[in-house]
Amino acid sequence: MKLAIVQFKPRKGEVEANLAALGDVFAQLAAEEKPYDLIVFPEAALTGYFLEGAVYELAFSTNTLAERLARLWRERAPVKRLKPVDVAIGFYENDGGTYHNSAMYLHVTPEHHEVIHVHRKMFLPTYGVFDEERFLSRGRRLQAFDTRFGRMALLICEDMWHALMPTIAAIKGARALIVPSASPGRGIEGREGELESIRYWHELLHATAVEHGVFIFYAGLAGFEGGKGMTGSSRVVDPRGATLAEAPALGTCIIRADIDFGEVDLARASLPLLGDLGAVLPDLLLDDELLPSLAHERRP
Amino acid sequence: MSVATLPIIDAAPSVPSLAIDCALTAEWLEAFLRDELIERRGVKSAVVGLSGGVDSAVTAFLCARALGPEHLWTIRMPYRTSSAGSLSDAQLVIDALGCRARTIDISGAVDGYLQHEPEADPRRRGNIMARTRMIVLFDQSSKLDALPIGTGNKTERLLGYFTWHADDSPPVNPLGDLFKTQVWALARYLGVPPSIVDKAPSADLEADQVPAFVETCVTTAGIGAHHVFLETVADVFGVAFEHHENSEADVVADGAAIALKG
Repeated sequence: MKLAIVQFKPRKGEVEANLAALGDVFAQLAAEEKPYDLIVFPEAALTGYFLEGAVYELAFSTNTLAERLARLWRERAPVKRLKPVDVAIGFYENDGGTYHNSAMYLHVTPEHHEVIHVHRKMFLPTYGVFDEERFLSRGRRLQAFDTRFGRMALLICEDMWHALMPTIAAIKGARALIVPSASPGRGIEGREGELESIRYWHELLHATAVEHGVFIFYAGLAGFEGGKGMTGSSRVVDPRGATLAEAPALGTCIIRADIDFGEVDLARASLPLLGDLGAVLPDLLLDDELLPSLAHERRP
Repeated sequence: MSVATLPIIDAAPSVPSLAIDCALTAEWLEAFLRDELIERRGVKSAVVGLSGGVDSAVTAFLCARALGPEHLWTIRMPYRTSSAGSLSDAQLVIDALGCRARTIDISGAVDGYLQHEPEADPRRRGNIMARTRMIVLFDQSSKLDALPIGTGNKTERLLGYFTWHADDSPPVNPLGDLFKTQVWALARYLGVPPSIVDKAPSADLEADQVPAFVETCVTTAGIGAHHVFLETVADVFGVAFEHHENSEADVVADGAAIALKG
């Protein structure tokens, strides 16, 4: 599978300009001799991340956005190179008046398009510089989904920071985690010349890939929004935890990678942690102390 | 058989630190300035008011690195009672950067209003001067097709130690998320002349006025005399801070100490 991760920098709130820029990316990618199979964009790629109340004006319905992206691909790819392509992209979703921070996995052919999956971000950061839950509703379900390249899952930014999320995605059969993200840089104390938040992402993606034997495709938003610097740092991590490509924190770029999903089987064969987990997880989750201990916290 | 003594490894204390990676910080702040001015607003040049102090010096250094010294306009705005030392310290910055520079005396503008308010106390006079300087900076920015860049730091902001419609006015503030201690560290890294970095902060308050300032904050602004607050006060004025076990917190400024019961 030929993969592109687009480290994209939107103009805040300028949806049409951002769609045009995304079309330029499509044209650049489609011009290559060997066609791309999957193109991944970051979280909130078409609007910018810190929208606050403007999310109500700028959110898309899934079907409208899928239609726009499919049309854009057909318009911008040269006719002779118009091959099927899959696109994963983060966007603000308007689901009939309920708003989500979502990501869709879209399959586009010259003739039609199909929304394979929409994931709605479950962990909405509302602390520090973040304010998501004032404006958005949580997603309620984490699902893996089948693509023509194998089973995958979408996790948006903070979804990835809770170990249970990639764990459940892997248990549900995901062999690749697509992680659209918009991560404002934090921590200028600096170790190894890197922002603390970037270093933490690096460790998190490495540890997750190793534990579950999954590929991780991390797409980071770029640019500054109201004094917050988005940290890009898009990355491809293989199922043994090796970083195959890493984009700089600043600026825009495209990561190109050839992905062999057979690597997942090999990684899991040599380190069968996921199989072990499958055997033990029921004992952990069906423990009759677990839910009452959580419920106790919620009692008035 | 003798009893083996196992080596002991002491853990480092887990405390938040004000230490910063200066190279990393400068890189991000320069990228921030370029993004805000050139990419977002299509403005190539910055206007920075140089006071002779470390905040405006660091701001000027960052702008020169981000935009090029030819795109940095520094303005000195003395009032007739301003010290000559402030002007000469600002000149050190101009010489070091090779940036564009101008001196505009604000005495006439300030006195034009104050002649109607001869009873104005030093606090009011200081605020009028600060706001007059901002009128100059915004007008010069308009004339030069540039953007005025703020010089305020996080410590001042958290304390409310700034003048409304003056230091808080510029749209872009590269030092806005740095504590004063971090501004000093960045100044040394950037090569700001040592006489500016090392001199005692004056602002509009002298160091021996710090205890009175703290008392004002605690009594009129309702800020608790918590040692974190006092630490922040000490940070903004660059004075020594001592915290004692008996929950008394002292700010030691220029030999004069105050003790507030926590």
